[in-house]
Amino acid sequence: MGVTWRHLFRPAVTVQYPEERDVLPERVRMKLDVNIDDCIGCRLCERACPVDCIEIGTIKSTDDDDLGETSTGHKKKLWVNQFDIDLAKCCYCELCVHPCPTDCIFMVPDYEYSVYDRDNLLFSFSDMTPEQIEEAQAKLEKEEEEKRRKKEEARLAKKKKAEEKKEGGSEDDGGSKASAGAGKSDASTNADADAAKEARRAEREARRAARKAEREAKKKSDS
Amino acid sequence: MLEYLETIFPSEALAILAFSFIPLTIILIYALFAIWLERKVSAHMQGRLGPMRVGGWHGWAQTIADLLKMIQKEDIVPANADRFLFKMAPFIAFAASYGAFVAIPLSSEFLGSHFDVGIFYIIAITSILSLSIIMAGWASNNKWSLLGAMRTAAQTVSYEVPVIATILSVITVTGTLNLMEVTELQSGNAFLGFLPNWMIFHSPFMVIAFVLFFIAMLAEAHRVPFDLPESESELVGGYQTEYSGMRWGIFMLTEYADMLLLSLVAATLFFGGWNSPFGSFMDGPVWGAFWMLLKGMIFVFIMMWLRWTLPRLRVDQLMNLCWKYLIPLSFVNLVLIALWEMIF
Repeated sequence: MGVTWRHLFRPAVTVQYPEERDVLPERVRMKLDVNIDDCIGCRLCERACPVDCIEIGTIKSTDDDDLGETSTGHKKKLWVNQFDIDLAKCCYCELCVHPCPTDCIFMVPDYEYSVYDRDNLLFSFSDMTPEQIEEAQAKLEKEEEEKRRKKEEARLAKKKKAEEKKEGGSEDDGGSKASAGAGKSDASTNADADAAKEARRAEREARRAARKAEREAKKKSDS
Repeated sequence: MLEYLETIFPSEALAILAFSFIPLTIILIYALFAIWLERKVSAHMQGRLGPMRVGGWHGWAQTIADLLKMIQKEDIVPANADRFLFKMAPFIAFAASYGAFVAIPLSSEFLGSHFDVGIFYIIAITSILSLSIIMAGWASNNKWSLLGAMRTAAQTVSYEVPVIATILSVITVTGTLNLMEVTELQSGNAFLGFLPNWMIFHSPFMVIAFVLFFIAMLAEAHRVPFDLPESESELVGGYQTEYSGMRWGIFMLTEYADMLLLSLVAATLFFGGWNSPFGSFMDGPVWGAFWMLLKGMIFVFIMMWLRWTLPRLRVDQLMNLCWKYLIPLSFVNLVLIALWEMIF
């Protein structure tokens, strides 16, 4: 009875939650937050995440755009058009926080973000509007096209020079390939690869035929 | 009191009605308060806060809110139950508790009925409680209800014996069954110069009698450590398994009324009833009611305190304690008190 009597006058441990809250420890891990202005789109956090809850999309900035610097002095070279963290998946391990070179992803002591639908736990931190993304995309494509064209022109010019030197030595296959626009890969190496493939196929065919003949011969000798 | 009410009310019948409603009012207000207190006491003993929101100050209106909730609940009667008995049982239980208040002198001016068999009447009418419990258990047509009722009845009937034996030891000293006279005998502070003339100070055997009475009283009121009928942490609810809503609430009310009744009986028999502990200081009809209820509430509080201190007894231990220890001790004590009375 003495124990219960003493406990009767001991202050209760209850915390009347919405009115009063416990003081949180300094390094609580409760919610991920991103300072998108400082993000350089390096994706180190995305790679560090053991549950793949971070999804980052980037667009290269064009040469005429200057995205500025982060507060830590890093040069920003990529548009970060998507920075989604699915906190429903997040295991609060904080492994994404440490690799960040600009300290732009961090834990905040906010634990009251429950939602009625799991999908609402997908937090998007990118501040780019769809129009901005489209614009950046279009700009990049235009610039890449420009670059490719210049490169092609340079290559063609080089080839012409070489041809002029050789005076019509080899067959002209590369031109047609380049006009089809097969990416950035070099047309001539492409042709070489094709030739090698052809050769291998022929070899295989020959080997198969030889095996067939051998089998038939064996059958005959058996009967 | 009754004479005074008769001067206020136009007819005698109305006055009697109002007179008989006074204990009921006290019981109802007390029950609201006691249930809240029970929750607060238990919470603070466990390092919690208990109800804190309803009504503002420390959740004082929690019981009222619970009561309103219970009134709104569906009144379920099991399909195979004996409808009439099932519905009657809680009211008979409460009537038994309430009826006993007739013989309790709440103040020097308030006694329901001046009859000479006061305490005997209380013992008799509280026995109806076990009857109503069996009624509830049996009418439920549920084997667990019936088993719970049987256990409760066995417990109540067994523990009535030490209760009666200890009451008898007080009666041998007072020589009257009328509780008003018992209380009047305990007036004054003559004992050892300053102690009030209460029964508990009469002789060392009276202290033993009180301890025995208090233990048996806990069992009678189905309080921990003798709360096997309900044992809410183990069973569904004993005899009240099938009860819901307000009918269950009335069983709850009965339990608390029973606690108060037995506490008041203990206060009257051993602690001077409505007598002030300071002689004529703070004495009088209104102070008398205050002292009586205060003494009762102290016992009620001790019951709550014990509830969070002691573990529950097993049913065989319960019977052992009663038949092997309490009954022999109380009878030996009765004989010793009788001898003490003869010698001194």
